[in-house]
Order: sequence, then C-alpha cells, then structure tokens
Amino acid sequence: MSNEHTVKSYEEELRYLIDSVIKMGSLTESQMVDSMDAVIKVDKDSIDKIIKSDEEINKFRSKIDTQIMTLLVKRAPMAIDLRETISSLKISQDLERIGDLSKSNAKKVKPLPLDLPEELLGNLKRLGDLVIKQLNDVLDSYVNKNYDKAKEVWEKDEQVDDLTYIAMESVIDFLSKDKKNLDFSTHLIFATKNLERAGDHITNIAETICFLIKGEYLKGSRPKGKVIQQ
Amino acid sequence: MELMNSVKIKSKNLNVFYGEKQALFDVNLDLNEKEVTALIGPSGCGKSTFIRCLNRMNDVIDICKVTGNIEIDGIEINDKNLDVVSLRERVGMVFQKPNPFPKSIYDNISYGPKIHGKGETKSELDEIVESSLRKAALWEEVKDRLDEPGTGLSGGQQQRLCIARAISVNPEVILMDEPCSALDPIATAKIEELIDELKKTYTIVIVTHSMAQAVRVSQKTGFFHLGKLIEVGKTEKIFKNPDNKMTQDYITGRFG
Amino acid sequence: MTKEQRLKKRHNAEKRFRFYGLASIFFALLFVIILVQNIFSKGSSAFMKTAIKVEVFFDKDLIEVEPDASQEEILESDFFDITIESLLKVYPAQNIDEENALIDLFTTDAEIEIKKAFSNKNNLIDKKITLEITASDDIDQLHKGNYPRDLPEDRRRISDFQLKIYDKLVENKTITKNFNNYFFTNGDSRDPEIAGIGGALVGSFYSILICLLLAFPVAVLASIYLEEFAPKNKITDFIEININNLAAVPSIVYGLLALQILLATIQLPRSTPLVAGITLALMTLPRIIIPCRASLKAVPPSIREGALAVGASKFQSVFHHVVPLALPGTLSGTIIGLAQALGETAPLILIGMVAFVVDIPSTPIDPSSSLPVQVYLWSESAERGFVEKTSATIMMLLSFLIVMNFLAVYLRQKFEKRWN
Repeated sequence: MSNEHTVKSYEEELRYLIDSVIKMGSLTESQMVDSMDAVIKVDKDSIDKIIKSDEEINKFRSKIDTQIMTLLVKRAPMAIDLRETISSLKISQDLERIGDLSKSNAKKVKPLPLDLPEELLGNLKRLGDLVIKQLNDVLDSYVNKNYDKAKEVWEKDEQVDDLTYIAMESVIDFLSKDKKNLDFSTHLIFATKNLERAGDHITNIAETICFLIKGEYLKGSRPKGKVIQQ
Repeated sequence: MELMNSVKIKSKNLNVFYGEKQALFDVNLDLNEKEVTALIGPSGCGKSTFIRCLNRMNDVIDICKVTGNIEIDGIEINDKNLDVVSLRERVGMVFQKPNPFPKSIYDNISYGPKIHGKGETKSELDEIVESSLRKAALWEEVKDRLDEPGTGLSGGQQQRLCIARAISVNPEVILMDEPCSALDPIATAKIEELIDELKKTYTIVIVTHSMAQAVRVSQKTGFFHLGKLIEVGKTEKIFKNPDNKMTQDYITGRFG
Repeated sequence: MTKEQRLKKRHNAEKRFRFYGLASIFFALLFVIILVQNIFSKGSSAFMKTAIKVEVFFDKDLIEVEPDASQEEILESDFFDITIESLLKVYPAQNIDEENALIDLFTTDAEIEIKKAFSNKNNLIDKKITLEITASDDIDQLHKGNYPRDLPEDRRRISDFQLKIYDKLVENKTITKNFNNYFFTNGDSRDPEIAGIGGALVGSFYSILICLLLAFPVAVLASIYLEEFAPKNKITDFIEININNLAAVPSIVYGLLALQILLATIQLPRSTPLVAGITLALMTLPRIIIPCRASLKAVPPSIREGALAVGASKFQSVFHHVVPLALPGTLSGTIIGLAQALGETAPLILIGMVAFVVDIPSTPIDPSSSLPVQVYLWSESAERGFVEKTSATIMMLLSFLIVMNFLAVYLRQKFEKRWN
C-alpha cells in the first residue's frame, strides 16, 4: 500500500503548500535574526533590507491563502490532509504576524542612541535569542513532524515570559535613571513587548503543530511565567 | 454527555462464503437505532455483502453460506426457522439502480402493504400510499399522476419512489446500497435531505462510495477492507482523525 | 496502404454488404410475389361456382310432405321427380342418353338444393320459382376456362351434345357465376363442385383449440418451475437439453407416438380433433417452453430483488412480477408455435385424418379432417376441379398464418407498452 495519493497532482499540491509554509518560516526566521541584530547593534542601515523581506513574507502569505482555497475546493481533504491544510493556514497567519513584529522592532532602531547600557542590551539579547530559538525549534518540529519538540516549545513560553519580565525591568530601570531616556525607553518597551508577542505567536504555531500531528488539542492552559503588572 | 442511541442490530463473528471464497471475516458490528450508519471501503470489500445479510437477501444466491450471529432487537435472524418474509417487512432495502415495478406509481407503493395484509380497504391503501409518498418527499410531484407507470419518472424520482415503497410496509430498518450512485447531484441532495428526515423514524444503514456523502449523512461509519471490518466509530472521528492507518489511507486517497 | 485507401476499403466493404442485403430482400420479395401470384391465380376461381338457372315447379301431386313439414322431414322426403322434371326443361333432349347427358350437367346435389329452396320459403306448393342450381364439376371447370375444348370427343369428359347445351346456355345467359358458399359450408365430397373446407376448418379449429388448452398451461407452468424454482443440478440440465432436442424432433415421430399410445393403447377414437389436439400439444410443448424460458431469463434480476426486498415470497415475486414481464415473449412464442401446429400434416395423417369425412364435426370427438390434410387429399385427386380448391385452401391456410403472426406482433407490442 503506497503512502502517496493515488492522484499525483493532489500529492504535489499538498507538498507545495507545506514547502511554501517552510520557506515562509525560514524567511521569517532570518528576518527576526536580522531585526534582533539591528536592535542590539543599533544598526540603522539594515532597516530597509528588513522592510523588504517583510514584503516577501506577505507575498508568501497571499500565495499560501490561494493554494489553500484551491486545495479545499478541489480535493475536499480528509483527516491528516484536512489538518495539514488548516494548519498551514493558521501557521502562515502566525508567521506573518511575527514578521510584522520583527519589522516593527527594526523600525524602532532608528531613534535609538548608540550608548545603551550593556545590561539592558544583554537582557534584550537574551530574550531575542530565546525567541529566535523558539522559532527555529518550532519550524524544525513542523518540518520533521516532531510532536515532543513542538510540545517543548509550547511549554518554554514560560521562559519567554520570564525573560520578558527581566528585560522589561532593565528598561524601566533605564527610564528611571534619566528623564531624557523616556523617548528611547518607550521604543524599547514596545520592542520588548513585540518580542513577547512573537513568542506567543510561536506558541500558537506549536499548538497548531501538536493538533496537526495528534489530531487533538493540547490540554490545559499555556504555562505562564511572571507577568508585568500594568 | 451525549445521548447514545440503543443498539438495534448486532452482528457477531459474521462470516460469509461464496462457495470456496470467503467474503466476510468475523465481522462484529453494532448498528444503533434511529441513526445513520455508513459503510465505506473499496470495491469488493464486502460492505454490500454485509448489508444483504441483514435482510437475508443473500439467501437468493445458492452458493452463499452465512455463519455467525446477527441479532435484531435481540432476535437471531440467521435462524433457519426464521420467516424471511416477515423479516423483510421489518428490514427494507433500496438498491443502487432504482428498480420500480413496471406498474403504476400507486401499485408500486400499495403492493407491499397488500401482500402483508396491511391495507384491506381502498381507503386504507390510499392512506398508506399518500403517507409513504409524503415521507419520501415525492407526494407533491406525483399526486396527480398516481396511475402513470413508475418507470416513467426521472432517475431521482424513481429512487424516491423505491424509498417510498420500502417505507410503505412500515419497516424499522432501511438498508441502502449506494442509493445515489446513479443520480445527478440535485437528485442526490434531495435524497440526502430525505435521509436526514428519515433517521428520526428509522434505523438506516447506507453503503456509499462517496466519502463526502458518508460524512454528510451518517453519525457512525464503518470501514471495510477485503472482507474485514477495519475500523468503526463516530463519523466525525473517522474522517477527522481515524485510529487506523489503512482507514486514513483510504479516506485521503492514498490507497494504491 | 495509405490512410485514405484503408478508409475507402472499409467504406466499400460496408457498401457491398448493404448491397447484398438489399439484393437478398429484393430476391426474396420477388419469389414471394411469384409464389403468391401462382397460388392466387390457381385458387381465386375456387371462390366462385357456376350455376344454371332452372325453373322449378312444385307440383302438388309429386310432393309427399305436408305444407307445414319441418326441415328434416323435407330433406328426408323424395323430391327426385320434381328435380328431374325441372332439370329436363332446360334443353330439349331427344332420347334417354341425351336426357342423362343433360342431367349430368348439374351437380349431384341438385335435389338437395331444390329441397333446401322449398324449405326456406313458405308454401311453395303448386308454385314456380327460378333457382340457380349449381353446375357439375365439368361444366364448372369449362365455364371457368380450365377445360380444353379442342380435344377429340372420346378423350373429353364433356360430350359434343353437352357442349352444344353449354353454348346455348351461355348464349341465353342462363349460366352464371355465384359466390361459392359451399367452399366454406360443406365438408369434403367426391364431387369437386360441392366440396368444401367446412369440415377441415372446424376440424383444424378444434385441434388447435385442444392443442392450446393442453400445451399453453403445461408449457408455461413447466417453464416457470424449471427456470425459477427447480434446483440447478445435472438432472435439470439434462431436462433442458432434452426439451431443446424435442423441439427439433420431426413431427411425424409424434404421429407415431400418438398412433401407438393414444390410438392403440388408450383406444381414443381415430381421426378426431381430440387425438390431433393431444398430438399437436405434445409437439408444441417444447416450442412454447423455449421462448417462455428465454423470456423469463430476460427479466432483470433487479425486479425480483425489488419484490423480495419488500417482503414478497418467492412465489409472489415470480407470479406477480416476473411472469407478467415474460408474457409478451411467451405469447409470441405460443402463437408462432400454434401457427406451426396449424400447418402440420404428417402426424395427422398417421392418426388417420386422411379418412374421407363428409360431415362437419360437431364435437371434438367426431371424426374430421384438417386444413393441411385436406390440401394433401385434394392434391391427390384426379378431378380438375380439385386443383383450384387445393390452391384456395392453401390461400386460406396462409391467410390464417399471417393473421396469427400479426396477432403475435400486436399482442407483444401491446403488452410491452403496458409494462414499460
């Protein structure tokens, strides 16, 4: 009994869809790395490049949407194929949001000074690295259909919350040291928040992948770390 | 918690042989009351053979041998002493190709009740004919031409006529062997709508080649392959997330 | 060969085949026309008979019956003198030979015709009427132009004197041709002018009726049993082979069978429609069973399943659903089988229907003839008058066969329309 669809074009359409999601994921990942780099090194030259790659990511999004519509109307997918189709829809939505957040962060580099405190940058970098790793892991688990890895990413959201808390603390500290820093701090707060939200989207993707593989939703609520008191 | 319908038909260790060739292997399947159960599987997998066991239609095939138990409401029907005629009064059947009798529409419906002594006077029969045609959603279309031959109707109408004919003897179970395979999409939709209504009164078992149809009309689905019941369960589960890989391969079109 | 050449070759093959078909039809029609024309030209004259006008005087002194006598009494009584007297008035005869020659111009049944005329009208005593008395066979044939006049007298059946009378009658227009009702109402006779197929017609009718009443129910029920109810095993296969073979058995064998069993052993009356009917029924049985079984086989199984699914028993599904659908084919087969039986001669000869039977049978156990046997008997006779009668009888037979075949087609179409 072959594992491929009897109708070859169905097999190809499904493969094409999955590949598009993977490519979109890679783009999103490299964009996030660039964006993080730009923030830490306060590199204002790379902003344009990042904005351009976001356009690419959006193009992928609409391409994937079209492919999904075609698949649904042509193939009336069942079981694993249905989950695969719906998952690629949800994942591409989350990836697009992550791309937007990376772009937003890159834009925030423009007004930043070049002499931000080491500790602040260090905390931000740690948060950023973790989020990037999460994205890398979740994309990995998508490619390899690795349930355990996806579940790990889902659970690690707690760490993201914790690191966000720490980074936020340094920014607030920076703000309190000098009233001149208000402008920069606002940007930095947003940048930190964006990273946390990127993490949430990555957790969404992890949940979607778990559903894709097992056919059931993850039980229980997401693990939550420390939350900043508003 | 969901309300489970009670079991109407139980098959246990059902084996069917056509001469030397075995067509069904140890089938254990429960069918619930007032529910639609769909049977799916590739050609020759035994699903038609299975439903034909439920009304002993396999008796007409000389070389067919059936062993095992089938109970309807607790009564064993594979008993040699069972009166098949009264069994078929309780378990009706609709076939793949519509086969109305070459008689008038009225006579098509009234034949069953007449031979079972269900309608003695003309007005009683009139009532049965009207109510059966109404239940089959055909009354409005044919009420002015009950004397015309049943074979003069369109394919979809003929099939609804056959459904009305099956209903006319007031059965408890209706077996449908690919009832829509010879019909166009509009006729198919009308019959699916009908099945939705009918399941409130009758237990329905439907064999279908259309996966989409099985999903639309049934609450429970059984997947057969090469004479074995591979998987059975709630329809939504079977089509969203089946347990068995073979089931998944079949419904996604990965069967070689 | 190029593609065009191949295509042309295929088209030409088809054209040739169509041509052969049309040519065959043309030749077949040609021969049918020749055959029909031949029979018609010989037989059509049989429907007319020659009659001579005679003045008959019912002299009271010569009549022995009362004026109110019944028809039987009149036919029993003696009208011979009246007859002779009336006939001799037609032409002056000089001597006894000439008188006899004159009398011979009329049918031997002249007296009976006069008696019948007397009993038909009331109170003809002492009255005169003009009757048209049937002419003798020789005059009949002469008047129809079938008799050569130019042979020398000793080789002729009609003498010169008789010829003289004939010519005079023609001149006076006292000789006429009427419709030959005797052909239909009379039985066989030695005299061709009054011979008819009446007896053979009734004999054939009774024979076919008995054949139908025996063969049809038995054949249909046997077919239904063998096709629907009997188990399929070597025995039933054997029966089927035998039935097919029986349809091909020469009909004369059935005659021998009838001779030995029906006549010799059971001792049924010879030469009767009863025996003929039974013999023909035996012969027709396989010819009805075969189309009936084929029609039953042709009923689609979906009809049977539909009936069974609704709770009909096997018996009900067969008799309420399958048999009505098989009826058109069965009926055609039956009518064609009966048409064949109608034309059977050999077995009927063996059971003695070659007997010379004058009376028209009133019941199936009276001796009779049948139409084809009558043809056979007449064709053996020397008299010229029987030639036209033989052809006329063949025309009657063919007409019946055509009517029966049209009936078969009509019934088949009517039933098929009804069931579909």
